Amino acid sequence: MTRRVLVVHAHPDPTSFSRALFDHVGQVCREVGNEVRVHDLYGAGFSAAMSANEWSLRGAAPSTKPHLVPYFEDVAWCDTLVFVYPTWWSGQPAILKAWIDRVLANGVAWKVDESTGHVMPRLRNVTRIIVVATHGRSRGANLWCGRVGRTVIVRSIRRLCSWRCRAHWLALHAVDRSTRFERDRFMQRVERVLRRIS
Amino acid sequence: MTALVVFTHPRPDQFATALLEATVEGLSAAGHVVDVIDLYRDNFEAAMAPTEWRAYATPAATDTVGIESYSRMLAGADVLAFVFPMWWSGPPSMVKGFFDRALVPGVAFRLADNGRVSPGLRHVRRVVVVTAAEPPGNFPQRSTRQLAHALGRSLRRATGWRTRTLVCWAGPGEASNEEGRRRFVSRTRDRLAGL
Repeated sequence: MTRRVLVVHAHPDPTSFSRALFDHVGQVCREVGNEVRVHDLYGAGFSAAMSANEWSLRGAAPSTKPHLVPYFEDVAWCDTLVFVYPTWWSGQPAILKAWIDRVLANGVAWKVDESTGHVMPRLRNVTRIIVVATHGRSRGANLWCGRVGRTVIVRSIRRLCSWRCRAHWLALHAVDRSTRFERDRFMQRVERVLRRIS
Repeated sequence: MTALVVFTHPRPDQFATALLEATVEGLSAAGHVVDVIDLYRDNFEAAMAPTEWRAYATPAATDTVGIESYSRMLAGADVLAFVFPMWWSGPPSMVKGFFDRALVPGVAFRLADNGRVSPGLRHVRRVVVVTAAEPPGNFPQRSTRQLAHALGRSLRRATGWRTRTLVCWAGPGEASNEEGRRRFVSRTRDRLAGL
């Protein structure tokens, strides 16, 4: 099955391991015949803060924010969401949090049902979420801190996706102390998952 | 005794302003001199730049332009308070940017050559999180609330183990009506005055 994959990436350094993972994800997805679109947030100069204007338009239709419409379209187009990022302070980097705050907006990712006041999911097209996260700290330390990054994606975002959406959480802990062998093994693990779901 | 309040809201409405005021009043009543950082008013850049990333583990990490005044305020704080709306079960990207860019090695913690981390903000006795869920909210509230606590937990890396966290949190039921909001604001003021 050909999948439509949207890869969201946030790392400031083009020589980083996270960037290498991002490139590898794109390459593997194309190899197996998937359609791929990418949001390289640093490369695109994505603004890391919701502006006051956007805030006041939060209840309005997505078309009122023309500068974000290409992002909205990609989110509505994809059936697989891939996040590739480093974990900082146990969560996503600010620029990726901004992508979540600004792109997964009202009318795009969710809509409020007028009669009940409940949030109605709008990301029914997404059936897989894959997160490729590197962590500076150990698994235990991350667990103790409450796994902020994981909760935001696996609980909050997945809730708005298809009811049968599966999330694959691929994390490499203690990346600063990791050996070449461990990094290569992690990359192979990412590749295996990507090939399996395609 | 000094308290540092980090405030974030793209366009402060009545409720956000009232929460900030309640926080400042509460902390003043507890005998603190209160400094306020308003990240949106300062036009704070939340995304860490590539040059900062490369300088992160070096002594140059503290040289970032625009961060010096924050470092100075952080260095004198006994209480560190965050006031923000809850977006996507976490602080807005602005607050995350403050963590990423202002709490760097040399300010928030020290990195030893062997990779060990030692806290640099041991003088912070309390971390305070004042936040209200953005309605609509039939989101998993329990995890949302846990995340407010998680902020204090990850900060212990900078503040040391003895620092405690106080979370003043208004759920969607409370934050969505006038009466609930007023109650939450006055409760926040009272709790902070007791610090």
